[in-house]
Formats: sequence, C-alpha cells, structure tokens
Amino acid sequence: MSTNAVKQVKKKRKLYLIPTYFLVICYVIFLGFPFLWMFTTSFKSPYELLQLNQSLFPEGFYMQNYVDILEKRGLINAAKNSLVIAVCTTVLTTIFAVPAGYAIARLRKVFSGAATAWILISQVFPVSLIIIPLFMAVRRVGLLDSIWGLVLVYLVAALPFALWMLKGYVSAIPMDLEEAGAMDGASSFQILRHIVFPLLVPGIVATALFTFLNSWNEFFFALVLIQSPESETLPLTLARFMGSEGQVLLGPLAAGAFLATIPSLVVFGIMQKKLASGLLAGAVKG
Amino acid sequence: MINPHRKKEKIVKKVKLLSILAASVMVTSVAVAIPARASTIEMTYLTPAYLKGTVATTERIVADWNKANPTTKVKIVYGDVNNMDDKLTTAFAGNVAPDIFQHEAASILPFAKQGYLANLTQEMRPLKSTMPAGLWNVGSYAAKLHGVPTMTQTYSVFANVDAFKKAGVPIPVGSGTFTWDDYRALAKKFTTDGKYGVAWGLRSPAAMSMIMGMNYNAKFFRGLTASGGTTLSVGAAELEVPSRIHQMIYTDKSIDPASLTMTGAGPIPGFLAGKYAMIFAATYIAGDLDTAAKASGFNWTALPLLKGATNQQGANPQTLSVSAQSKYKKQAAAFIRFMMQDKNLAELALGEGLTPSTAGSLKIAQETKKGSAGWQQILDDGAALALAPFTLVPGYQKWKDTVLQPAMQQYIQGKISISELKKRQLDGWKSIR
Repeated sequence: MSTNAVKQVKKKRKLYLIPTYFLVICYVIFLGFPFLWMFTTSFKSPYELLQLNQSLFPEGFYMQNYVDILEKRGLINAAKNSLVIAVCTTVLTTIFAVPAGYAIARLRKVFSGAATAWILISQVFPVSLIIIPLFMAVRRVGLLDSIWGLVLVYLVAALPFALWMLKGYVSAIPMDLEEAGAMDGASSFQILRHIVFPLLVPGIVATALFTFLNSWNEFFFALVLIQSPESETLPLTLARFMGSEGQVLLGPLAAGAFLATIPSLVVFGIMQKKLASGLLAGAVKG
Repeated sequence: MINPHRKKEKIVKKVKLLSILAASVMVTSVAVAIPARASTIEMTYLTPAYLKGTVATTERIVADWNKANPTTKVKIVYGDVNNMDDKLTTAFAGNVAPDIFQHEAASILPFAKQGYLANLTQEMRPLKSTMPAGLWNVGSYAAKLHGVPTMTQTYSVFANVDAFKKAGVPIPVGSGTFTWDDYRALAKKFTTDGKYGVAWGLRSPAAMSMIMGMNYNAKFFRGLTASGGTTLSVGAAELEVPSRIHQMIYTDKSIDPASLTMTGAGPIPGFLAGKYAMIFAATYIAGDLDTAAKASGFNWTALPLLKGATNQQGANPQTLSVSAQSKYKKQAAAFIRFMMQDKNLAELALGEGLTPSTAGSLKIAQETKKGSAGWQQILDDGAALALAPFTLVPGYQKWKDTVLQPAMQQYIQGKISISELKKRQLDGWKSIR
C-alpha cells in the first residue's frame, strides 16, 4: 500500500473515531451522572435539599452527613459485614460452581438436562414463598442473626445462576481442544488446569462479579435473617434513612450510598481486566 | 521426732479446714451467681425510628432506663419502617420476636388476632385516663389492649403566611370553623398568574381519603360485630372526599397536577419556593418546615382541621406492643410505661412531627412549641382524632392497598369516573372476601 493510501486510511479512521468517541462520552455521562449527583448531594445541607431548583454542585461542603453516618449509624460495621459476606459468598460460589458447571456441561445429556431443569425450577419460586421455611431452617442450624447464615443463604441463592452461567461458558469451549490435549497425553486434571481453566477465566470472573454484586446489594434475606445491629449489612443500614410516605434523609442516604458504592467499583475495576484477558487466552490458531 | 498420730491429726485438720473453705467459696459463688443470672436480663426493643432527633431521643430514653434498671436492660434494634410487617411476621413465626416493638395500630391488628401480642390492658390501666378514648380503642382488639398508642398524625392544610398577608387574605383560625368549602374557595383565590393555590401529594391517596372521609361520616364497612360478616358500603359519604378532590383538580384547576403523583412530602420544595400558598399533607412535614423556617425565615402555619359534617379524622397512631413470646412481659410493660412518661413521649412525638397521645405529654409539647402558631394548631388538633372503625375490619389493609389505592389513583388521574371508582371498590371487596 502506498504512503498516500495509508494516510487516507488513517484519516478516515480518525473521522470515524470522532463520532464514536462522542457517543462513548455521552454514554459515560449518562451512566455516570447519577453517581455524580449522588456524590454532590452527599455534601448538601438539609435546607439546601429542600430547595425547588437543585443545582448539581453544593453551595458548600456540608460534612455533617458523613459524620452522622460514620459516627452514629454504624456504617463502618455494616460495610465490614457486607464485605465479609460478599467475598465469602463469591469465593464459595466459585469453588462449587466451576467443577459443577463443567460437569453439567460435559456429562451425558440425560444428566445434564435433568440438572439444568432442576436449576431452572429452583429459580421459579418467589422469595415470599420460601422465606418463612428458610428462616426456620436457618434458625434450626443455629445461624440466625449471623453473617455466616447469610453467607450460606446467599451461596444457595447464587449457585443455580452461577451454574447456569458457567455451563454456558464451558459449553462454548470446543471439545476438540480437550481431545487434542488427551491425545498429547495430558491427564484429566492437566486438561482442566491448562486448557479449560484459562479459557474459562472470563466466565468465572463474570460469575464472580455477578455473585459479589448480588450479595453486596441483597436486602430482603438480610432484613429477615439479621436481628441485631452488630450483624447488619449495608443495605439494611441504608434503608434506615428512608421513612414512610416517601420521606427520606437524602443527605446522609447519599453519603452512605456513595461510600457503599466504592467497594463494588474497586472490585469491578480489579476484575474487569480479567474479563478481557481470558478472552485472549485462546488456544486455536487460525 | 514428731508423733505420727499428731501428724495425722494435723493433716485431717488441714483437710477439714480446706474442705470448709472450699465449700464456703462454692456456696458463696453459687449464692452470688444464681441471683445474678436470674435477675440480669436483656430485652430487645425494635423501633423504626430513623430521623436524627428521634434516634437520639430513643437512645437517650433507653440509656436512662438502663441506668435506672441495671438488671433489666433494653437493647435497641432498628427496623426499616417500610418492612416492619415482613420483619415481624418472620420473627413471630421463628419465635425470635423482639420483646417490645413500635408499629402502627392498623398494622398490629393481624398480629393481635393471631395471638402474637401480649394483653397490656392491666399493665397500662393507669395510662387509660390520660388519652382520648378513641385513641385507646384503636390499640385494642377484642377488648384487650395490644398496642399502647404513643403518637399520631393528622392531615392538615399548611399555609404560607407571607403569601396570605401579601394577598390580604385572613388566615383561618379556630378549630371546627374551617370547612371544605372554605378550603376550596381559598385554593381558587390563590390560583392566579399561572400559579396553583394548592399542591397535594396524592401518589398514595387511599389511607388519606378514608381518614378524611370521617369528615362526612364515611363508615365504609358495616356489620363489624355482626355474625354474618362485614359488608362494604360505598355511598355519598364515602365518595364525598374523592369527589371534592376531583373537583378541585379538574373543575377549579386549583391543585397543581404535577403534585398529584408526588409523595406526601413531595410538594415541600415548591411550597418553600412560594410556588403554592397552601399544601395539604400529614403533620410529619412540620419538621422540614421548621428546618426551612430556621434557615430562611420561611413563615408557615397549619390551618385548623378541615370540617365537613365534622372535623374528626380517623386515627392510626404509632403503638408500643409486647410480644406474647417474650419471657419478660412485666418488665417490657414497665419499659413501655417508662417510655410513655410525659417528657419522653413529648420529645419523641415532636421529633417525628406527630401529636403525643397523653394529656401530660401534649401539655409539655405545647409549652415547648409555644412560639409556633403552626405547631400549636397541630397539637390542638389531636383532640379531633377518633377511632376509625375500618381499621378493625379483617382484610381492610389488603383491600385498601390492592383495590382502593389503584382505583383512587386512576380516579385522581381522571382515568375513571366516580361510579367506576365505586364499582371497583365493591367488586374488589367481594373478590377479597
């Protein structure tokens, strides 16, 4: 290709990039605006929040919202509980779901079909139907009002969907790769460790992220199973900034919600690189 | 040489001494330990308090109690006001209910019927004479007191005093004098220059329309005590309040249509900005109005309760109950009496923008808010609260939430007629029964 032709292609690409970047920036603003609004609202005084015309930026930095939630509302303890619960649930779910998902995807069709149907059926029951029996069961095993009870419940709640997701990812990995590995003399474990697992990383990361966010945000099970303030999770603490008939303590709620968002963002920031990196771990050369 | 006989005697003596000492220590330990174990108890108190002031007051009251009763301690458990029913239902089913809890009268009725609540009639007898009979009865079921009424809200018209002054319109005063017709006329008067006279947050109009219906003697349910069951009757009295609201929205055009989908507190910013001369809301908004008054000098007041045939409103007070599962019912009742002390109750009620239930606490609240005409009116209005019989009807809550609420919303939005509103109420009740 001549130098001129290359230049023209580059120019065309630049022209194409302008609207692309513009759209991406618009989308980022669209997604980020509520977060920005929440952040600036957390610095507004109660009177400022009663104004008809709300500005994006606060008149001053009213720090009392943060002081209230950190000193008087037990937000730090709740955040600690939420973090322990979400991390433990995510780790346990991944440990159970990866081999189980592989088994469901690779085992005989009859077993796979039955397992998939069973997973689907378990997702059909509404929470309100199972909450009292679940409550009794958790109580019977002595895990009521315990964060470990919540971990157990979240694990059970997260597993079906995690299995469903991972089954899809495993199914997408060609059997030919595993067979090629076997022909080269690799053991089953080696095939899993060196061929399947690297290709499954994006699926595991996506499943882990999904599980983490669900556990981090879950409200209803925590409401019912947690009794004492010491075991409260973040969503329970944040709900206490809302009253009946639409009343809300907007400043402290925004401050609490902003702080509660940070761990999710950090976890997502760390793990999202893995989402893409696994995709590059392909084994088939063209 | 030591005599072996004496040596043996010495050893026996030592053993005896040690045995006596050990026995004494054991007896003393047991004597100390047994009463300590038996008398040091911890009760849980579930409260939906969430406002800064109310949380502080609750903690202060509990700290005072714990200081005065070191062997009968109370531990606060905060609940979510919007999920109290779920929390209590599972707690009762799992036999882990809090010893004491705060909820609202209409919502504790199902729990009382299922036998989950302790009978407090005897324990609270001294309080009976200190509050209006109507309020006392709201907390009772089958002639047993299950929830001690603590504080309650009324629905009022709040006015921007400066707007009234500027328009040269006198502010209505005097309980039982301000009629629905007066209200409608005032709303029309202030509807000028593109401004609406009133904003009315009507996102959830069902409870309000029933409570205000008592102004026109709306009963809704009949045969409450009859063996044949309760019947719903929707006549002119029951439809009067919805009809008047509809006229103000569509005939007079004096209610801001933007406010119709707001919550009760939604119109406050517009009210503070001078967009409306009046808003209709429950008294809990008084706290926000006080905040604005302090920050900007906003001049507000509450008008006397609206009057139709009467100015009575149905009461659905906050209540304190003791779980039937509690091992410490007597101690829990004593804690409730402590909370109900005049100073405590007045402070709690003012923090929530509600009217305290007992005469003594009402007096303290009135003295505390001496300088505010709006608060004086709110606190005076407590006398017009009466038992709303519909709160005692089995299935009322379900009917209100699943039938009346959507039907009223559609009527207010002009999507259905008044006859359709009536039909939906009646048909809905039949399907629930």
